[in-house]
Formats: sequence, structure tokens, C-alpha cells
Amino acid sequence: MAGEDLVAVQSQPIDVAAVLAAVEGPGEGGVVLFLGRVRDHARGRSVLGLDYEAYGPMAQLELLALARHARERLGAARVALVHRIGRLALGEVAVAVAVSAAHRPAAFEACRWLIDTLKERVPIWKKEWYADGGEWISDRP
Amino acid sequence: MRVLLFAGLAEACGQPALEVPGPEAPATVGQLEARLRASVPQLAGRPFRTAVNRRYASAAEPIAPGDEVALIPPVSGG
Repeated sequence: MAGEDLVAVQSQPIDVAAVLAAVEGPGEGGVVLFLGRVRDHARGRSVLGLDYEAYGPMAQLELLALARHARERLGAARVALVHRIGRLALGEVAVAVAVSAAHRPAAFEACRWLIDTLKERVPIWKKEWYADGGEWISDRP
Repeated sequence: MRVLLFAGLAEACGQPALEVPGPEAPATVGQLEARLRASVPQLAGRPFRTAVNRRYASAAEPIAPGDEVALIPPVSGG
């Protein structure tokens, strides 16, 4: 955690209530929460579970930079970004993004930008497990 | 010089870090990438970006002794 932003890359389950609590504020009338959960299919294949790996120290720095950008440029008041690593089962929360702002447009816009940009540049990788083995996924080959 | 590896790159190389071959350490990110591409067959066909001291680095960026250098394959978080 740095300043007002809750930022974490962690192996323990994500406490969604704590993520929401981290963006509470008296002047913030709009709160948007995005949860990314482990899905049972990808590219036409059945997925049994996921492994996530991170370059932890760099991922932490990148997440802090994203949170700062959302506050300084996108009108977010408070930001929480938490990503799981390790083995996750179907349905578990892999990533949580919460944003509060005075009004809803900035909260929606910042939340959308944060999850999109996280997926583009934060050094975290997923490996999908299928009935016949596992494969590391690259979103921008 | 040692470079950190992750995910599919670490798996392809069978280890979490690579020792950069050659008598002298590369002076820039571009030189490092060229030397690795020329000497590590496991990297063939595998895209990556280079990070220096936990920041994405451009080809012109210098590398100093003691810098933390990592190869970042295409990310897939979220």
C-alpha cells in the first residue's frame, strides 16, 4: 500500500470487502468494482484451473504507476488493484480492481482503463491447465 | 551478467535465470537482446521485452554492473 492506493500481488485469496473498503471516502459518490474470475473455458478448450506467476517487485511498481495515473489523469479518487498468484481453481477471483470517484463516469472510465492496461503491461502470466496438460498464455504474441 | 526469466521463457530454458554468454557484459539493452538471440536457441520464436531495474527498457538504454535485468514475455494477467 502506498498513499491512498491499495496495491498487492498475493498468493492468499482476495478479500473483496477489503478491496471495496480501501476505496471508501466521504466525497466519493461512485464506486466501480471489477472482478476477474477463473473461467472454465478458453479458446474452445475446457480449462480445469490456472497458475499465475508474477515478476513480483516489478508488478508492484507497475500497479502503483497505474493507480497513480488513474488518480492524476482520469479523475479517480481512490484505487485498489489486487492480483492473485499461484494455483487458482475455477470461479476464484484472480484480479480485483476498485475505483471510487465523485461521480460515476470517472469511476467507470478509470476502472476500465486500469483492467485493460493491467492486462497489457503488468508482468503477470497465466498458465491454463487442461485435461491433457498446461500451457502458458501470451495475450500479445 | 545474469538475466531473470519468467513463465514460458523460464520453462523453455529450464531455469529461472540465464547467464549471458561472452567475454564482456553487453553495454545496452539492444546489445543484450542481440547476443541472447544469437546464442540461446531456446529463445527462438519467443517474443520478449527487456526490463532493467524493474522498468521496461528501450534498446538504447545502458546496462550497468549490478542492474537487475529481466526478460518479460508477453504478459497475460487479469
